[in-house]
Amino acid sequence: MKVCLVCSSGGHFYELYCLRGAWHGHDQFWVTFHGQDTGYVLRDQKVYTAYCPTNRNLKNLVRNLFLAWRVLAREKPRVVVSTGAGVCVPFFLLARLRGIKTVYIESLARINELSLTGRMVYPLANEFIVQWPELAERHSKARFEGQLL
Amino acid sequence: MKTFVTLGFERRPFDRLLEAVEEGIARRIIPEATLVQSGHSQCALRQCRSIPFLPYVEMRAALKAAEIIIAHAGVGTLLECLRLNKIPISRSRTWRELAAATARHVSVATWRGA
Repeated sequence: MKVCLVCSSGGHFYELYCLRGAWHGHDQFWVTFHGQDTGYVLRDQKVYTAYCPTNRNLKNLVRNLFLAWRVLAREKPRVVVSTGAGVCVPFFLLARLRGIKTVYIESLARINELSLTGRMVYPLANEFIVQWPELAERHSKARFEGQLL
Repeated sequence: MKTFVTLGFERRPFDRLLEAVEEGIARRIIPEATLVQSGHSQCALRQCRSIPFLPYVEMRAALKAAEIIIAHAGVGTLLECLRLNKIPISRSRTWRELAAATARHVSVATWRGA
């Protein structure tokens, strides 16, 4: 099974990388920003560099949409997994259109309300996982499966 | 006392944290920082050595060696500090920012487990 891992650099990458046991042994590739962390930790991995910043940035949303189109067509993953942030939105949108499963994990920092990215991908995610039980209680689709602590 | 100030890999500047650190050192409220990792902040520090980014391995080593860590405390730094058995102390609850909310819950959990 081929897994597509999408995230920003920094904390979002740290949280996604914490979960690497879940896809151990499967083919994988990453879509992220180049940073001190991603550049070093993913130095032996296949990485596509996304456009940043993504916060309220329409130009980069469009560029990442074209990137998602190319990457998903070329790689044909079975599942797209992301911890955010906005870079994952076009990937989730096109993944759903292509019949690719999508898994979103909301940040540990989101305790009482979803992030903007979380709210945007909520209708698109096959699995929507949160890290605080009170958040799962407020959103019917959200599942609490523990915390990255 | 080894003090490490870090803004992590955050892409946005956080000058007011660095300004507060400078003021705290000048007023002898906090120990002089051994090292400041300043990220994209432009604040010019007079009282301590700063570097924008550390290589990943050196960043983890600096966190591990520090006796006091003053951080923006994004989730990445916070989780790394917890894995290194550092005790987080949250900022004022009046701040409605990411690190204050996360640290508040984490510090409660830490006290319960202490």
